[in-house]
Amino acid sequence: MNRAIALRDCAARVALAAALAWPAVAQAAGITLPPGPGANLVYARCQTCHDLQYVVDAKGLLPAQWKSTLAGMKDYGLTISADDEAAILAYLTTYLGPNPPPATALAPAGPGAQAPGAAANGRHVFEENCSACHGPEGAGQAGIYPALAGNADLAKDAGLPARVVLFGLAGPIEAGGASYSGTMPSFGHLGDAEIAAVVNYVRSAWGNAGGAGSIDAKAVAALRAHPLSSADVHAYRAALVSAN
Amino acid sequence: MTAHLVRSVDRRRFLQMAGVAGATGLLPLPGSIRRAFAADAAPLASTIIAGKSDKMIVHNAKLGVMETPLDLLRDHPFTPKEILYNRLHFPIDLNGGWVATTAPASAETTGDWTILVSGLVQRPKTIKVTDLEKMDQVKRISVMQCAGNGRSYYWAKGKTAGSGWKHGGMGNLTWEGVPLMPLLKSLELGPDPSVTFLSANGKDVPPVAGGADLIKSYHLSAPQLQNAILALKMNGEPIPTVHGGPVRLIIPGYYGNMNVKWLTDLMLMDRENPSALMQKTYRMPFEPVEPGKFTTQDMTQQNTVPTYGFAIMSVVFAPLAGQTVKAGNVDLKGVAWNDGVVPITEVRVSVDQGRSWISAEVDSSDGATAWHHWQARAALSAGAHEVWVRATDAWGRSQPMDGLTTWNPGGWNWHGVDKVAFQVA
Repeated sequence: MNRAIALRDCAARVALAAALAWPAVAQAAGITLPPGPGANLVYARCQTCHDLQYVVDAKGLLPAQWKSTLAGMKDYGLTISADDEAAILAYLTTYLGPNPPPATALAPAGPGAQAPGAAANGRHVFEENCSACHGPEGAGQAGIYPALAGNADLAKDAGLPARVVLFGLAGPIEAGGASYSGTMPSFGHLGDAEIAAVVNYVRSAWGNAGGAGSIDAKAVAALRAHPLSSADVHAYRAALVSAN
Repeated sequence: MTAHLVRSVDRRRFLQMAGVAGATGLLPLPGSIRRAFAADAAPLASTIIAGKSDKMIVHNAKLGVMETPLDLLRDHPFTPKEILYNRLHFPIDLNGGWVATTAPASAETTGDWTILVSGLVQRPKTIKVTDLEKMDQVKRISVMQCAGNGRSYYWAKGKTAGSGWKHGGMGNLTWEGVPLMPLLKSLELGPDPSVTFLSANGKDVPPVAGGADLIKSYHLSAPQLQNAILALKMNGEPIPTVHGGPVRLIIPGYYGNMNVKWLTDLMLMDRENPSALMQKTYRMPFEPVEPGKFTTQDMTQQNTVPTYGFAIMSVVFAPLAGQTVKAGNVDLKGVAWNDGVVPITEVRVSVDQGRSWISAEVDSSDGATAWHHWQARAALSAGAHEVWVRATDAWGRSQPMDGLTTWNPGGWNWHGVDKVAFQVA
């Protein structure tokens, strides 16, 4: 696509985003992966372009096929470190390969996987789960994924980023005077302590103001107990942002 | 943030709950806010694409991938937009969700829409959709079908990546628009003598910087290209946005991925576009391959061919799999289609697992690229039965008795003899 087309697209997209309504729900309800080392990377890296239905539907691919599939994703635009690629491939061939370990042998999933109150490193959680879209320095990607560095909305209420991480966010938004149209999937598979750590990290990293109060695992658990759709989170954010 | 984007939510209660001063935010949400769907349930089609029937089978919500159950598909000679299958290649939200509807593009969008015709030409030109609207329109009746339609049947031999389509990734449609080839000629582009391919691109863009765009390339000499149109209408109405409106390149007889939606660019070139979505997917190996021995990464222009024209195919619409029908003369019905280059000459049906075949009556009145409706009748007694159907065209092309013989790593071009088990009582 040449520059003239890109510019034309950009202008058209802004106009269209303003002119047209958003479907109520734009992403699949939580699809869970078999727990195992590397599962978090699959949650974090694969949902930028497609939801996890493709991943679970491909259960049973032979190792050579998973390897080829992952290479194909790089052809389509996935950028990934060699370590992460190896970890994802090991996960897919083990847990979604032709001979996966029986479910009873698997470790408990999701929030239970980590003891409540266990320490989590917010920066590490961010780099593993968030940096693919929001950038390693929180710069985001123009038009699609909002910047977190310098994002004043984060300071308003720790409950906003916590809910976005827990339940995802679907719908066009404006932040810092720019429009963004990407969909954030739910990262509810992360443990409460991990979510608290990453929320506290992004609220204070890169010179962010932090805002009043940090959030702890117990508070994340309380939010988790009242689930929202990703479109509801969008409405919640809109109400919060417009009030300020 | 514009108010209409907030969906049926009481803003004031949100504000009370959120604590607008910003410090709390950890209170439980009020009772008026309820999860829109159960955590483990697939989202309904109408919540992914406004206007779609909730009876659609959703394969991938983020990409708007859904297929039509056969009991709906068979009820309509021309597949209504509400139940037409869909497949996008980039997240449906990426352009602000504007494509996620069966409604037509707005007058403003249509009014501003242009197509750049360029490539190895002396005089690139721009065409407006509003100009296309003023030109003479032609009508095409043609099958639209995902190249992955039927993929799940390959899984009996070996798993492939991609959605588990059954037979419902297709429909029969009317399209109206401006013939492509005469239009290209009339533009007096001054193409270089080396030009042999046409490439098409649409407004959709990959979700990551530097990602592969969905650009498709066709041989300009292919017979199907001579029937291609820049379509403005589907089933007599402006094309539903999710299906490519306001303007879509329609090449009757070609698989869905070749019919570029939201057309913005036509390029006259001397080779296929190098995009990975042209070179690493939607390609069929020339020779039989085995799971794990030949992968998508092994595909080259030398050992594969793009999924252009439909492989000849027929399916059973009645009885449906698992149905129970009355003993006696049982009506057997369905549709057949091919790439439209030569006519379908025969559709044969077997109710004894291929030992004997009867010729079905075939209605080809909608033309070479449309559904050919076939029907036959067989006297059947109570018990378990199977109906098999197989189409053949004037070049002798037919369907493999065992569809697994064309297993390929992408799961494309399923066209095995359709074998449907049902009960007679």
